[in-house]
Amino acid sequence: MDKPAASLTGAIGPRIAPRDAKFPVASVWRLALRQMGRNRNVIIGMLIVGLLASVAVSAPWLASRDPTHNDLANALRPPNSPGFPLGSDNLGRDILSRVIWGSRISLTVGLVVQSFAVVVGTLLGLVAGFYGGWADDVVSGLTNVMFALPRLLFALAIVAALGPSLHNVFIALGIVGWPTLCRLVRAQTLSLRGKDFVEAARAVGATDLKIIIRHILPNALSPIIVVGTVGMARAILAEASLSFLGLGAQPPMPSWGTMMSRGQAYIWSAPWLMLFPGIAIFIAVMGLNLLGDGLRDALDPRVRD
Amino acid sequence: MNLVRRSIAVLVLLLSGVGGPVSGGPETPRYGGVYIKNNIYSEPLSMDPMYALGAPTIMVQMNIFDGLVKVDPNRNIVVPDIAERWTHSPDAKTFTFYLRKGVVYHDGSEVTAADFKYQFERVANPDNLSPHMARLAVVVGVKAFQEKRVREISGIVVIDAHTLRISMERSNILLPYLLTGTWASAVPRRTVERLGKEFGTRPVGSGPFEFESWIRGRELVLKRNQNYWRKDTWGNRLPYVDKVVFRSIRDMAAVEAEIETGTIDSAWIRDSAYLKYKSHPRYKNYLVEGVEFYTHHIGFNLDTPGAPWRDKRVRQAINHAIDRKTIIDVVRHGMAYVATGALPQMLDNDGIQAGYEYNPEKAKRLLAESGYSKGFSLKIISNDNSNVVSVVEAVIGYLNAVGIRAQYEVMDSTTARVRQQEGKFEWYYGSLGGEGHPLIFLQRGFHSRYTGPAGNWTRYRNPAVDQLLDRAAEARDASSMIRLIRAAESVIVDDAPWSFISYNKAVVVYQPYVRGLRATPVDLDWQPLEEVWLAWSIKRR
Amino acid sequence: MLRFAVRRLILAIPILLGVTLITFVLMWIIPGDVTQVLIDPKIGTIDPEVARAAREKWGLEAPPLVRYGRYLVNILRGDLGYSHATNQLVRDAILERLPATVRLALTSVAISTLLGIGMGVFTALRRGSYFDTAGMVVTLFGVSVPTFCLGLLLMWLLAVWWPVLPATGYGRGELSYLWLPAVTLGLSYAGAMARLTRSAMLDVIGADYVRTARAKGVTRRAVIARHALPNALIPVLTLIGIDIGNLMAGAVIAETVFAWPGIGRLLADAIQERNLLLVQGCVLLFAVVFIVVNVVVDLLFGLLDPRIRYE
Repeated sequence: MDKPAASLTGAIGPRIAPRDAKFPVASVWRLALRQMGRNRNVIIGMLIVGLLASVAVSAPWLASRDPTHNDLANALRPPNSPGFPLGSDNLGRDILSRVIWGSRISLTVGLVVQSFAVVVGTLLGLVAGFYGGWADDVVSGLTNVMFALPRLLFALAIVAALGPSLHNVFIALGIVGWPTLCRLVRAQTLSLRGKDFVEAARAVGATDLKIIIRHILPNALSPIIVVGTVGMARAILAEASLSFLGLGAQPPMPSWGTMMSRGQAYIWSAPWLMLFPGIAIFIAVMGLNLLGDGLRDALDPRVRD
Repeated sequence: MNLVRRSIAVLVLLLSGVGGPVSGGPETPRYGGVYIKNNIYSEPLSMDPMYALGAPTIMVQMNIFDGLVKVDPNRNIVVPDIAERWTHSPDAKTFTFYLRKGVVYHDGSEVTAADFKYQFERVANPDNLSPHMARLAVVVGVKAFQEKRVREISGIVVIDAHTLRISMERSNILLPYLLTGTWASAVPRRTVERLGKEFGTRPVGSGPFEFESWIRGRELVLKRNQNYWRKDTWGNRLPYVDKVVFRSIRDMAAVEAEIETGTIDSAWIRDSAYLKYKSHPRYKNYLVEGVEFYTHHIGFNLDTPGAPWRDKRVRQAINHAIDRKTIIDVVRHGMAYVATGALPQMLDNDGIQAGYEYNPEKAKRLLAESGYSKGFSLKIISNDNSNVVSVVEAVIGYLNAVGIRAQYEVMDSTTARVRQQEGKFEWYYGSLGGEGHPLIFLQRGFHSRYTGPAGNWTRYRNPAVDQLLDRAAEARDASSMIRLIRAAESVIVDDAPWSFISYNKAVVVYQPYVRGLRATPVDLDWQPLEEVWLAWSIKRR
Repeated sequence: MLRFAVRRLILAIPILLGVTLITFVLMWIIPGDVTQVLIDPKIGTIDPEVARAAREKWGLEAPPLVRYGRYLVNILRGDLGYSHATNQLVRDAILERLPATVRLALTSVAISTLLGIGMGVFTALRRGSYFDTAGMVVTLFGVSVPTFCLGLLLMWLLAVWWPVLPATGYGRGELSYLWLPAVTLGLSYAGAMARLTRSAMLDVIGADYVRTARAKGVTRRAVIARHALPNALIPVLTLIGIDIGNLMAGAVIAETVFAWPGIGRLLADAIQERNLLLVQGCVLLFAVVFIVVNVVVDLLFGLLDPRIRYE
C-alpha cells in the first residue's frame, strides 16, 4: 500500500508501487489540504483574496455611481462628503465606485498575466528539464536573454510598440513574467527526473508524456502555485509602476494603477485620490503574498526557491 | 511754472519705476547671489545654438548668446539686441542691420557682422543637421548653398564689420521676427572652428552669462559676464546675480517639495500646484502668470473617408458642445485661457478673436441639420500628460451629452506625435504653437503647404485661406499684414478644422526674494535672466 | 574554476546577440524613428526637408537587416554609435551616468542584503515567536508597497516635514543625496530578501545533515554559521544574480522621483526619443553586467556549498 511521505520535512512525493500507480497523488493532496486548512496565513490570505474577488464580481451592484461619469461641479470633494464617501476626483467621479470597479481590472491583470506566465513557463520548463539536450539549451538561452533585459522598461517598450490598450499591457507583463516560472519549473523537473519513482514508471513502460503529466507535474505543482500566487501580486504592482511611468489602462477605465498615477498631481492638495487606490493595491498584494506564504508553508516546507 | 515743471519731473521719476519687472516694486537692484531655477521636461540637448531646440535648451542658451534682434520680454514685438537698428528697402526684400560697436564675446573677441553670416550658413548647411535648417529658405541663394553648388549664401552680405545686409526672393516684412530665434545668435567663428563638436559642451557667446559647467542629468551652471554690454535703466551694468544654476527635476511633486525647503528659487508649476499656491500663505503673491503662444485644440482628420466631421456644421457643433470655461476652471484649476479662435494673441499683445460660445442646444441643432441627430462614434488620441488626459476625459463627457461617443486612446507623447504627423488618427487632442508670430502660427497650422509633419496635422486645405496667408506674407507694411492675418483667422474659425479649447497659461512660482522675472510673451520658459536679482541672500543647506 | 568561468563567458555571447536582436526588433516596431529628436516636444512640428536630410545622413533608409548587421560590426570594433539627441557618443552618454548608477546600485544592494539577511536570519531563528510574526508583517509591508509610493513617502518625511536630507538630485556627490534613493530601493528589496533568507534558513535547519551534526554535539551557533547561513545565502545570491540587471534599470522609478542621474532614466528617455543606438548601448551594458554577476555568483556557490559541483 502506498504511504505518504515519511515525514513532513521530506519531499512530498508519491512512492509508487508498480500496481497502484493511480492513487498516491490523491492522498498526498488530501494531506496538503489539511495542512492548508490549519495554516493561519492561508486562511487570512484566502479571506482577503476572496473578498476582493467578490467585490470585483459584484461591482455593478456594489458601486453606487458610474465610475466614468463626470460631475465637474463636484470635483475634488474630500472623503465623507454627501454622495462621495471616499471623496471625488478632479473630474467629480466617485472614488469609492472607481476603486470598486478598479478591482476588476487590477485582479484581471494579476490573473491573466500570471496565467499566461504560468502556462508558458511551466510548459517550457518541463520540456527543458525533462528532455535536456538542445531543447534545454534553447529554452535556457531564451530565459537568460529575457533575464538580461530590464523587465519594467522592456514591458514599457512592448506596450509602446504594440499600441496603447489594456490587452497590450497584459501581453507585455506576460512576456516579461514567464522566465521566472520557467527557470523554477526547469530546476524542479531536473531534480525530479532522477528520482526513483520516475525510473519505476519507466520500467513499467509509461510514455514520456504520462510521466511528465502524472508524476513530475504534480510534484512541481506546489512551488508553481506558490510562485504563481506571489507573481499575481507582483503583476498588480507592475501595472501600478507602468501606470506611474505613463502606460497603463486606457481612460476613463479606473485601474488602481492609473488612479494612483493620476492622483499624483494632487498628492499634497487632495491626497485621497492616491490614498484609496493605494490602500486597495496594498491590501490585494498583501493578501496574495500571505496566501503565497501560507501555501508555501503548508504544501512544501523544504522547497528551495 | 516751476512748480508744474517740478511736479512733472517727480511724476516722470515715479512712473519710470512703475511698469518695471513683474515681481517686486521699484526697489534698487542688488548685485550678487546664486539663482537656482528648475529646468523642465528634460535635459538640455547641446549648448551650440545651431541645436537650439526645446525649452530646456533654449532657456539656457538664450542667456549665453545674443542675436541681431530679440522679442521684447514684455510685449510680442521685435526689439534691437546686438543690431541697434535696421532698415529695409521699399519692396521689403532687403534688410540692412547696423550692429552696435564694442560688443565682445566671453573670450574677449569682438562681435562682427561676419559672425552672423557664419552662423546662418552653419544652420543652413545640411551637413550639420540643424533642426532650423529650413528657416532661411526665404533668403536668396540658400538653395544653391544647400545643394553645394556654391560655398556661401549670396543673399547674406557683410557690408563691413558692423553692417549686415540680407536679401530675400520675395517681400517679407517678417524677416526680423524670423531672426529672433536663439539659433540666429552670434558665435565667435574662430573658436567654433577650433572646438568643432566640443562647442556644444563649451559654448562661448556674447550674452549676459558665461558658461561655467554642465554635468548632464545633474545641473548646469552659468556665471556672470563681467563685460556684458547691456545696462539697466539706471545705467548699471547687467546682469545682477553672480551665478545661475539650472537643475533638472522631472517629478513635479519633488519640485514642490524643493520650493518648500527653499532649495529652488523658481520653477514652473503644474495645474494642481496652481490650486495650492493661489491660496498659499507664503507664495500666493509670488506667482508670475502669462499667456503663451500655444493653442490647445482637438484636431479633426479631414482626410478620413466618410467621416461626419467633414461637414463643417458638425465641426461647428462640436465647438459649441464643449464648455471650455468650466473645464478650465474645474479641471485645470484656472491654468489656461478659454480659446475662442485660433490665435492666442496678436502682435504687441493686441486683442484676440471672438469665436464659439458654449451652447449645447445649438450643437444638437447643427448635428440634426447635418443628419447626425443620433450622433456618431469615433476614436480620439492624445499623449499621456495628466493635464491633457483630464481635459480630454472632461471633453468626452460633454460630447456624450450631445450624442457623440468618443473612444479614447492614450499613448506616450512620441507615439502620439508620430500618429499626428502620419495622419493615423480620427481626432487628436494636442497643441500647436511656439512660433510667436501669428502669421507663422497660422501658416503652420492651416496652410496647405504645411500639411503633415510640418504642422497642418488636420490636412486642412482651403485655397481662400492659403491665398490670404500668402498675401499677408508679402505685405509691405505691418498694418496690412495684420488685417490679412485677421481675415484669414476669421475664415479658419468659421471653417473649424479644430475645436478650439484653450490657450496656454504658464505659471512660475518663485521665492519671495527673487525679483525681475517676467511674463514673457511667447513662452514663459524663454526667460531672460539679466534683469533677475535677489533681494536678500539666504543660507543654503 | 577558471575554465568554468571562461566557458560560461563564451556561452554568454549568444545571450548578448539575442539581447541586441530583441532590442532592435522592438525599436523597429515602435512607431517613430530617431528623427524625433529634431522635434521640440512642446511644439511638435518638423520640416520635411530636415527629416529627409536626417534620415539620409543617419542611415535610416537602409533595410533593417542591413542596419542590424552594420550595428553588430560596429560593436565588434568597439563603436557604440552616436546619440543624436544629445550630440555625444553613446559611450560617453553612458559613462557620464555610470558613477551615479553604480553608487546607487551598490548602496541599495548593500542595504537590502544586510537588512534582508539580518531580518531573515533573525526571524528564522525565532520561528513561531512574536518576533517572527512581527518580522513577517514588516517584510510583508515592504513587499506590498509600490516603490514610487515609498519614495514619495520617505521624501516627504525626511526632506519636507523634518528636513534633514535634500529632496532630490545628486549634488556634487555628497552622501546626503544618496540616502533617500538608496534607502527607498533598499527597503523595497529587503522585504523579498528577508523572506527568501528565512525560508532557506528554515529548510536547512530542518535538514537531516544538520540534525546529524547537532546529534554529534556541534553547537547551535556553529551549525548556523557553518551550514545554515551559507546555504541560506544561495537563494539570495540567485535572486541578486537574476535581478541585478533589473536593479540597475528598475531603479528608473527611484531615479525619476529623486532626479537621480542614472542609466535607468537614460534608457527610459532613450526609448521615448526612439534613440535606437543609445537604447542598444544601455541594454548591452545591463546584459553584460547580468552575465558577469551571474558568473561570479555561480563561482561563489562553489565556495559556499561544497556539495555543489559544476558540470
